[in-house]
Amino acid sequence: MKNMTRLLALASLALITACSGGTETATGQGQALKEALKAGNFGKRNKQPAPLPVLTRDLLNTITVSSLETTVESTNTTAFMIPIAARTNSGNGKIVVWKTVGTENIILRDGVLVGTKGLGNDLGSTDARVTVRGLQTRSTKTGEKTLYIRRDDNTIEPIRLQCEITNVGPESVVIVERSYATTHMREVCSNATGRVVNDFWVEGRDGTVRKSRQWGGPRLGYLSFRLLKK
Amino acid sequence: MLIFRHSAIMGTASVLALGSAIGLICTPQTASAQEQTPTFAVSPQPSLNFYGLPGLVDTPTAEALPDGQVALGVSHFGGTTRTTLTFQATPRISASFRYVGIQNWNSNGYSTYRDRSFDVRYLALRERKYLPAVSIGLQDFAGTGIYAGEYIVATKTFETANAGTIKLTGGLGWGRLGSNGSIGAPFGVRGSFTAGSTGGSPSVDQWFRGDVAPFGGVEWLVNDKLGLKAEYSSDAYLPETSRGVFSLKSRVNFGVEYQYSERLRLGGYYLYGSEVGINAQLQLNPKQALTPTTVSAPTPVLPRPSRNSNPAAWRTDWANSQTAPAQLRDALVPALSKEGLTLEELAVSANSAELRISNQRYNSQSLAIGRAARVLAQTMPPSVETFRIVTMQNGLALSTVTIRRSDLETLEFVPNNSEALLAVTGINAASPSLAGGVTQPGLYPQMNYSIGPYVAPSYFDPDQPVRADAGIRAEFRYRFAPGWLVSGEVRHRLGGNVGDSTRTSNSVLPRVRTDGILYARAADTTLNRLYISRQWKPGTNTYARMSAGYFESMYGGVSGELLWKPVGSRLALGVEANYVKQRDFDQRFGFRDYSIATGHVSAYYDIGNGYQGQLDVGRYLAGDYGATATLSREFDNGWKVGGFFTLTDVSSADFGEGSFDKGILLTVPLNWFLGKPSQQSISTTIRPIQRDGGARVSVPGRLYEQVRQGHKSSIVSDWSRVWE
Repeated sequence: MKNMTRLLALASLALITACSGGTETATGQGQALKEALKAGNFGKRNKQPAPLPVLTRDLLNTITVSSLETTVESTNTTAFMIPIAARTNSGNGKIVVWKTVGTENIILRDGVLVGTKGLGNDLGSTDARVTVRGLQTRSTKTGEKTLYIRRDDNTIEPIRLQCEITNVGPESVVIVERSYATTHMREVCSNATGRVVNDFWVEGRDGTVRKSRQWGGPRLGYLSFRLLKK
Repeated sequence: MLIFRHSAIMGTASVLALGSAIGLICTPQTASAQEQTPTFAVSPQPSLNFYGLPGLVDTPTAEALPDGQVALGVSHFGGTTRTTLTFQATPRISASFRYVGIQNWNSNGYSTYRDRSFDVRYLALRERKYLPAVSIGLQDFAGTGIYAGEYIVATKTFETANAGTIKLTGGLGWGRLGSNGSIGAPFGVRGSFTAGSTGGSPSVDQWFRGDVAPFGGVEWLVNDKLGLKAEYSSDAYLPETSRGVFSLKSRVNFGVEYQYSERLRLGGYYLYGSEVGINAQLQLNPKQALTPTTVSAPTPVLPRPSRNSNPAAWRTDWANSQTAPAQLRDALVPALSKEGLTLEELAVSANSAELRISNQRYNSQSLAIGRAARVLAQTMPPSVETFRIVTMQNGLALSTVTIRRSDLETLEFVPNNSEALLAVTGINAASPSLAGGVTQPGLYPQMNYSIGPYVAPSYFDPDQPVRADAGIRAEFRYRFAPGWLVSGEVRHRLGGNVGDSTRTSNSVLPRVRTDGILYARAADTTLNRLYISRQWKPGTNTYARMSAGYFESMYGGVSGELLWKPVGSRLALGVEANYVKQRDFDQRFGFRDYSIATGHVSAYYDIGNGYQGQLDVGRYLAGDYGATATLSREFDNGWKVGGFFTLTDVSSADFGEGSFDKGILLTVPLNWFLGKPSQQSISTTIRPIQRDGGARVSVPGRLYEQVRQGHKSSIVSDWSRVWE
């Protein structure tokens, strides 16, 4: 027993002093354990969210760039994002890549969620033509929507959903003290395993999605967006 | 303006400015009510019995685990503890390894009887609407036989509207499972276990022979968490009851189980009318990580300006400049470094670039290739259309992945973008060296080192099943030129009990592996490895290695290896020749007077769907001749589970307990646990017993695994990560 205690104490000491140098991945149990300890509580990230300031119109007026508020419902986290790339050359609708100050990206095609990066359980890519067409015309469209998601074994699992997007009617949406006249579009999608409801509030003039709540996959769950500044 | 850089709509500085202006990220919000959203395809996860296989309490059911599932069951009742590792190797076939301890045995020279056993099970029929699932199982089919038994079993599931799920099971058992309530012996007399046999070989003359008895029961899954079980067992527990381990008063067993978490199920039971039992069932699936890996988002591909709008950007005269390659290299190095990639060499022309990189961060080569491609797209002048990315592994050019830049620009956001890119990507052979390339100055020499603790376990000593030594280790890897390596490791043992074992070798063969206890006892400070090696490519599809020094704690010498493996080939052939000398027990610089020329001819075959086969034929350490067959299943994320056996010209009697060498291989990538990129993995080889027959020297840096991970099937298997 005494021997074991001594051993434990020395092993702890050895672990604390574990170190490595060079560009290659370090080898050995000590480094593995240290990595594990560094990763902390095994992926339960964002356990201490930083307080978010109260958004006011005055504050938004001081911002000179487009900004999007994104909330991941499953982790209860909200981030502000800005666009870092825009693209119109592939498929219908304009692609915009939004980025947090950290290392997360959200990819929207005319306001429709088609991909995420760096969030974990990411949405790889999406065939969302039916949604984009519905929002553009603000009329009922039906069709198949497919979410392509990489599983943990590095295979892609397509999630095929039958969708119908319909016009719910005009609604006014208030975002940080300002009211927007929008059309509420609702998309209901389902397959044999379940059903999702995506909601979009689209502005009249140019079809901008001012606010939405969209489903990003079985593990990512629902994300909601508010376009704070166009 | 030589270096071409697109300006993004906004740079990082702007993001930071926004961040500081309105404070960033993360505030809790209340989640709204959820309905049942679509799920990934899931297979039901059956509960386990006391043998660690899908079953009731002590008897089996016909259910199979989900494909690839790894189950660990630990059960205890009546002085018997069983620890079982089960792997669902294919959707229908599972294999199990079990270690058992039976207290109060008090015979055969043991107070506690300890033994190892292997099971296999085959799902013959899947459950249909009106037909049950049917499975056939062999229990302890190759051991010294106290658990030997065979069964055929059927299970039918009934879903009720509001009372949960009911599973009914009935089966017939032979051997141990036919020892109580026999209804006859349809297939003749059962061969008996020969006392003094070394065991370890399939006991074909016993299978499905002798008395047969019915067993069966019911499992009621009341809800997602709670399950109740009742069964009628056909096992009389003759070896145990005759020795007074426990007394059997009933054939009926009961249990209550609780699903503690997605992966852990716990149960309490009342068995054989006299004993209380417990069972902990842990089930993992390689396909579902403990923590999904999250990598930071890449910089998006930024398309080039069109040729019409900006013809000047598309000029090609920059390529005539003598300094162009070096300038582009200097721009690439920091950008690649940010992605955990090292530029080894670069060659550019007006419309193509070949970039040779080594990857120090990701366990996915495709992810590394995808990042390198986007760095090229940000850095190369617009006229450069073809990117050839060569992955390098310690001086070996493994493959050339050819991607058109316009495809990167077009396909980044299309549905199923990774499949779309793969369809237009070429994966071909890489020439051994790059003509006319620029290298990164100061890349060599490279020194890597680490210092930290180690634990060296030793299993299955009948006196103490788990022993371990622990201490501090220091290791280094010094690369003074491409392909060259000098590496060493020193250990200092701080404590442990491996050397306390009194079971020193009784082998009649040269003691090439059974003196482990003497090695553990001899010294606290040991030189575990110190060697020099060089690896290179003699040709486009061939790889070579030469090594000399102290390879492992027991052997040192010289080793040479040659491997043939075309990039797209499923088949690889290799030859390895070694001359090694046994090291002194104290593991310093001296040798004992045993030396041997040993080597193998190897064939490796990628069977498909992740299954890998390997056959090594040659001379082993004790001078015996024979062959090793290895079959493993590798998941695309790096999980690997396999088994091997070696048959040589050593007789079962000379080999000793176990009759021949065999074991289980298990590799788990660290990022599966941690959820962040890492190339480290945890690997272990479990042998029921280590003897001297069929033993091989462990030479560091064998070629096949190094080469394979950069070849076509490996790259294609995780291509899903190319856009991450």
